Amino acid sequence: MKRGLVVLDPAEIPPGELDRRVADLQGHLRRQPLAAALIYADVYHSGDITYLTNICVYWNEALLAVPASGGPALLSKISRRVHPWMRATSNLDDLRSGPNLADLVGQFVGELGPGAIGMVEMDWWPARVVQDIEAALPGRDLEDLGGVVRRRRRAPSAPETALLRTAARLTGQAVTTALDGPFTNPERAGRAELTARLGGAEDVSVYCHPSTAGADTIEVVSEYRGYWTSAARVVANGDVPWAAPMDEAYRAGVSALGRGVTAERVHDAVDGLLAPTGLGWRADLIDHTDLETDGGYRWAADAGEPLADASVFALRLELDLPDGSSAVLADTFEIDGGTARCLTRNGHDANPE
Amino acid sequence: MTTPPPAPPVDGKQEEEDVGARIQRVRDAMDRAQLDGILAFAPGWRRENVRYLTGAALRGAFAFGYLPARGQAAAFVGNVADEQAVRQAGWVPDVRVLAFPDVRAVAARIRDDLGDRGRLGVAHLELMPRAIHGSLRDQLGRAELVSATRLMDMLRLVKSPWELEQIRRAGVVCSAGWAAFVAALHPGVAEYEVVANVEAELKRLGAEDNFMLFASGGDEVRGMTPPGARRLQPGDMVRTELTPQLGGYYAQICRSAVLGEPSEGQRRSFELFNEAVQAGLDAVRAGVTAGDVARAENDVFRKHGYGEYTTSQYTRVRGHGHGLHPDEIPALLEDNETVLEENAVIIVHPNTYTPLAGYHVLGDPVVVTRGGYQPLLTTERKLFTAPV
Repeated sequence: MKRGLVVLDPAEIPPGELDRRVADLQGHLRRQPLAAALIYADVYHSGDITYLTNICVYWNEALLAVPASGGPALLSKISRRVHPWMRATSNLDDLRSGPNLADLVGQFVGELGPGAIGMVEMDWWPARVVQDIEAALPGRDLEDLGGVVRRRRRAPSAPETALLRTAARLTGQAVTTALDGPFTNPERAGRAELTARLGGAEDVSVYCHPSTAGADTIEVVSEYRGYWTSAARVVANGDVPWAAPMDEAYRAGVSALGRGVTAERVHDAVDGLLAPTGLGWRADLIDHTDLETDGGYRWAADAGEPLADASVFALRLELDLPDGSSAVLADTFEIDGGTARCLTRNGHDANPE
Repeated sequence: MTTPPPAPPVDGKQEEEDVGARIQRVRDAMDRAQLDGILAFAPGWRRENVRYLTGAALRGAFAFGYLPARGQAAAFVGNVADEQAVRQAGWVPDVRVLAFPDVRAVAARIRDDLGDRGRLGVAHLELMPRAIHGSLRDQLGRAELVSATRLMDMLRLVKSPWELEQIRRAGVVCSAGWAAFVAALHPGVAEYEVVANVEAELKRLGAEDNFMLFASGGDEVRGMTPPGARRLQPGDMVRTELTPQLGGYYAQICRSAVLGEPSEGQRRSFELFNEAVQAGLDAVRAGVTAGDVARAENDVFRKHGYGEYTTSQYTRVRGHGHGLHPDEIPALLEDNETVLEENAVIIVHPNTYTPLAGYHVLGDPVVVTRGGYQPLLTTERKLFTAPV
């Protein structure tokens, strides 16, 4: 959960950076033209709002309303008592709270001129919230804006790239501290959690589990200043015949990474090495914008997108083991100058190959 | 860190009996509500109903648990890890992996049971994305979809003996978490560093997750949030609401601690809140309403001239239920007529701001019994202090 450090640090996010992102979206709205965009978030899925405002939706649901001109507003069920904290950690002045999101939308849109309202990734909104907003905005057209914010997030700015590198380094450190030593899996989880949270991670998920009787998997997915990265390692404690082919397959997957590469190509690189094991497996490329939801909010078409320059993503290889457990290897990479650079390993082992 | 006393072991036989009784309770409720099936929907942040039906610790963005009025339950999940989790729990043998938002397999299974019509209760229908809702709606023909969120909330309000054991185990970890919290309090330590130490200790003890709010400072503090970079100072009151999850179940503690010797205002504030907690607890027993408990707490504030600080301007609720979710019904509010039944679990916490010492948190979770309540924590209720 989002129980870690929440700050807006001008050394990390320069003054004007958030406003530039909002202005970019507003330019898109004016070109449509649309009177405003609405973005829905809950505590599990809030990256678009954080990208535009640095707001941490730490509980419940919230909407960000971005007018084509003027300042955005956060509409939420969160108590007014935390508005001062939200102002201190975001670029927002306009914070509105109430028990019904649609009522807040009705009030906000009522202050705008005519025009349709864009709904970002409308198909992932709760149907009931959309129905309530339709009822609150009689005569206003609602249009699906698709992944307009997520597409912008997939091409990170220089400050974002710097934050993603810091985030990935922290995730790598967290998983490393859990590896060596005679630890139980809960102890591994505690060590990873401590490293990540002391390093300033806002949210951390640590998955430590047996991978057959002879090995453990340690997977860390963490959020630092709104930026998600992941890494996973397998620690073998005994005879694990699947470990070597899995490792070799993972290295082959890493070698295949680069500008223009798709998940299918990585799949092909891995397949020849894992097919002889007879075990089930999945190789996935997850853009950093999708790590907060474990890739669960992607559309089928997203899976075919080739890696672009400057994109930051995780390669995740999961192997199904004979006893019903699984093993995971993962790292976060950046496409830099056409090639993939691992961000979650230190110095000499920056790339696992 | 202090190692807590060992939590009671999980009793597999009791679990098996509990699952059977639980399914029967759900079916009895379905019968009363004239439902032909229950479909529990779990978005990533509200998994409690699917866990209630499957026993599985999920990590995916979406999942369903399905229970027809007659026949076997089923689960539909979005990734293989969740499929493994459902199989490992062993409650629901029929589990399938979907590529959300494609829910044709869910609709097909429901049609097999309900035909082209029938009445399906959907828990967390209000949170179901359009893409999933529209597809399900289109494929279920003339079947009626109604919200079953309240029905499931009411079912989960009353805990079984096996569930109470899980919450007691979570309570042991909760008490250890508070001990770790106090141990981490030193002048110069940043708020987020305190939380890091607590989170690490909770995970070390096996907690799956933790809901936690934090605040530090003096009488200017008006509420709690995630932690910041503020560094603790002598005289600070440091407040937390700490809610670890173990085996699916949450247990909550609310406490405040002072760095150094408490001020007169901090002492008076603790006395006020402690009296209110005790008054609330004294009102707890099976058959009273959530409003009765809230009123007892608020009467103490009114008696001492602080009644205005019990309103929504300063506070949210005077306590609430918890179980598979950290914030369950009933909200302890004076106008809430929900009846507390035997074996409900609630935390009584009159947390609010007063001018005495700013926002103050104090509260204990209890099991509602016929004659009163059983405490779930062993942590002393006092104004804790940390050396400076």
